[in-house]
Amino acid sequence: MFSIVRPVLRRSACACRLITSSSSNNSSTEQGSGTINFNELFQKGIENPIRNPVKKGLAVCRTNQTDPSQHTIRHEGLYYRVAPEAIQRWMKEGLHPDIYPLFRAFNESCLMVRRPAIEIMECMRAADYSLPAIRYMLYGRAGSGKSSTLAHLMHFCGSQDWVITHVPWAPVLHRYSKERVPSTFKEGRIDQPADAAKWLSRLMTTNDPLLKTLNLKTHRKYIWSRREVTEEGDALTELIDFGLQRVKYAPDVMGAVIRELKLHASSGNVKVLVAIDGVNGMWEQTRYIREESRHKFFHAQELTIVQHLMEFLKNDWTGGASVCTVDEGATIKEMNDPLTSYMPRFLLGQKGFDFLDPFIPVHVPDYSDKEANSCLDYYTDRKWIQHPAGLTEAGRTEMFFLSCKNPLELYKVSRRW
Amino acid sequence: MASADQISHESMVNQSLRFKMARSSVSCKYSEFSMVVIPGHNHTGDSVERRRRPELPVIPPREKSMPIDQDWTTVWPTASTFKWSAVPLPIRQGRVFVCFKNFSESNIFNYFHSQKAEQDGIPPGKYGNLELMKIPNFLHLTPNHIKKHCAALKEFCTEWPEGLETDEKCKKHFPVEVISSDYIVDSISLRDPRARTVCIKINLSSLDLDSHAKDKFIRLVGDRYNADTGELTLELDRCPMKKQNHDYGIYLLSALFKESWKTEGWESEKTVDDMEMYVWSMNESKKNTQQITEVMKKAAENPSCKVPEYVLKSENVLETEPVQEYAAAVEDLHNVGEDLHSLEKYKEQVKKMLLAQ
Repeated sequence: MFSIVRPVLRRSACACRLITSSSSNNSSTEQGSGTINFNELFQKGIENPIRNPVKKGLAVCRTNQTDPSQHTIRHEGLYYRVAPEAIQRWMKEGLHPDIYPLFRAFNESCLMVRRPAIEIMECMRAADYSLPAIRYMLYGRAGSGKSSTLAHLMHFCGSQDWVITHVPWAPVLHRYSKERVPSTFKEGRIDQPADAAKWLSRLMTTNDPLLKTLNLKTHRKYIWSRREVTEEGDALTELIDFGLQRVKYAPDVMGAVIRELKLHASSGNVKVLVAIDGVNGMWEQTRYIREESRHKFFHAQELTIVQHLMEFLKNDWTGGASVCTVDEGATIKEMNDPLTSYMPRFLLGQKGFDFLDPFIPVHVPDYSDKEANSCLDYYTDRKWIQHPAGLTEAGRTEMFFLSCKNPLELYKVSRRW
Repeated sequence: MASADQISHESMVNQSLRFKMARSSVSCKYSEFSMVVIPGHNHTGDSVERRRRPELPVIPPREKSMPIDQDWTTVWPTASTFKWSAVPLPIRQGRVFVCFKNFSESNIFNYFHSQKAEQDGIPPGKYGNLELMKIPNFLHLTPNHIKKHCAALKEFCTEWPEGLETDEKCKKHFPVEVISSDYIVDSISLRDPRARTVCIKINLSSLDLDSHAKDKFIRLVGDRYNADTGELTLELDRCPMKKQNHDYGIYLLSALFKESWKTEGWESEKTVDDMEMYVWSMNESKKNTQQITEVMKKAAENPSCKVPEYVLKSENVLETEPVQEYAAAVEDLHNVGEDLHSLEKYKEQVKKMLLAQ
């Protein structure tokens, strides 16, 4: 029974309601037919969603330009379709976990072309790659689409045959790592072989066909043990494979791979994109307790992987770019602290800022009116919003009000419609 | 007659006795018997008439008879308490507040039909108004009063010096401002302890200080320096005499000035952490910029390389405009605070510095 009572119950948590419970109860009890009497609602001054739908049929909320390298400011606010192979290659991790079921529900995977991504793309097009790598920093409120923008940029660079090294969520390294051993290469550092191997395998899956076609060679000889040696002139893929097979050496292999990639990028063989989500976690304290005292923790700077990634973030190499995000969730600062901020200088701290300066900070704001309407058009198109009230102008206004047009919040609110 | 008068007078005088026997040869039929006389009840014949003063007519207040073009300075020559009858102005002050506690029907009826209800919430007029007498008035300081004062003082004045026509010129030529007060008290002693206090004010911009000296000066004077106006205020009251305090203040000022120009040996040990604010040239940011610009300069040898123009133009890249603007943006980000506006500015400057236009 599609009664009016059900949607009211579903939306009982909402701050304001389109259809008041008293009127709905009356109509349902009087009629007993279980259908909405829209005429009655209309007489009461409430918009009739069937007479006044927002738009008929398909609204203009998507673009046919599926190649991200062609995206310009003309495509702002429009969705473009990402091929399943591209999702598998570049966006398998790193997006908000809710978006993957959403892709399955929509039977396609689309990303919105947004202004911050376009801005960075224009900078990337204008940049000269014989100069030191430029670092871009995405910042914004939680749920405003920093990771999605990062994914869009990875797709942008990946479609132009860049080698992409992606760390989906940097704080994972110092929070949930299961295996930690003291480094054999440098005293005082902590190795995380499993995480390093995961990074190597991700590098392999992301750039597999590219690395094979480029056929990059190593620049020097690496001696891992008495028997295991990587000779000068060996293929880079062999080095990565060695790290995956001998997980014990994976952190050191990671350092070697990063060194090789930097050298190749500097000599112009390949372009490299360093994408790190939650980069401010690299200047935080870890959750790992020291042996001498329960109350002393390791600092993230003592982790070998973090040190290697820092090498990548330095601008002493050319032929590439780094795109990072700073996130409130990547700090151990208290989230409820009213003094907290999502700005890069606050999150990075003095040391982090000094290390990354000069970078180009790019603000990822909440949806503009155009983007928010485009998002709801797309949700309506995909039949994600099914309730008739959700198709009205008043319903949209309510959703915008409840979510403040924050992309993640708008998605959460739209789940109830 | 005389005896009767005497008796009645006595009876009038002695009020404590309610009943009094009196003899009266005239009023009594039987002279042998005395008659009971009750004062006030019996008509005793003649009584003494009281002499009353004739009521004087109430003189209308003085303000009613004032001419419009009168000389106010003669009416109100000096400072005095407000006098309603002498001020021809319809002034109101204060507030009548009727406290109305017990509500009942009759009370409410009485209230709304009383005079109080009419006055409720309206400032009362000047007649007998205590509020107007409490507050200070300036009726003795009208423009005409001031003109008279000036005219009276003029013979004691000298000519205004040339070149000090405006306040700015005065400030420029006499940057030190000394404020002191004299007190006249009707007492056995001429001395007043408050008179010893001297206040010396000076704006730091009028002193010849470089950035180091100014920083040191401000640290030495502490909260006596107002950062908003740039003014230093020294309140001097530790010596018993005014002259001593004044001399001490001038000595203090010169000592502060000379001390702030000194550079001690340990000042070279000041690190970045000791700085009270972010200084770009002392920080990592400058090193990074230097590195990048050097790399850019080298890369510029290759003609196909798109290098920003400012790198090629100048020998000392750090002195060029884009780098200096970028440095200002970084300092702004740290010293003023981080917000969308300052970050936007920082972004624009970094773009100018790193990207060829």
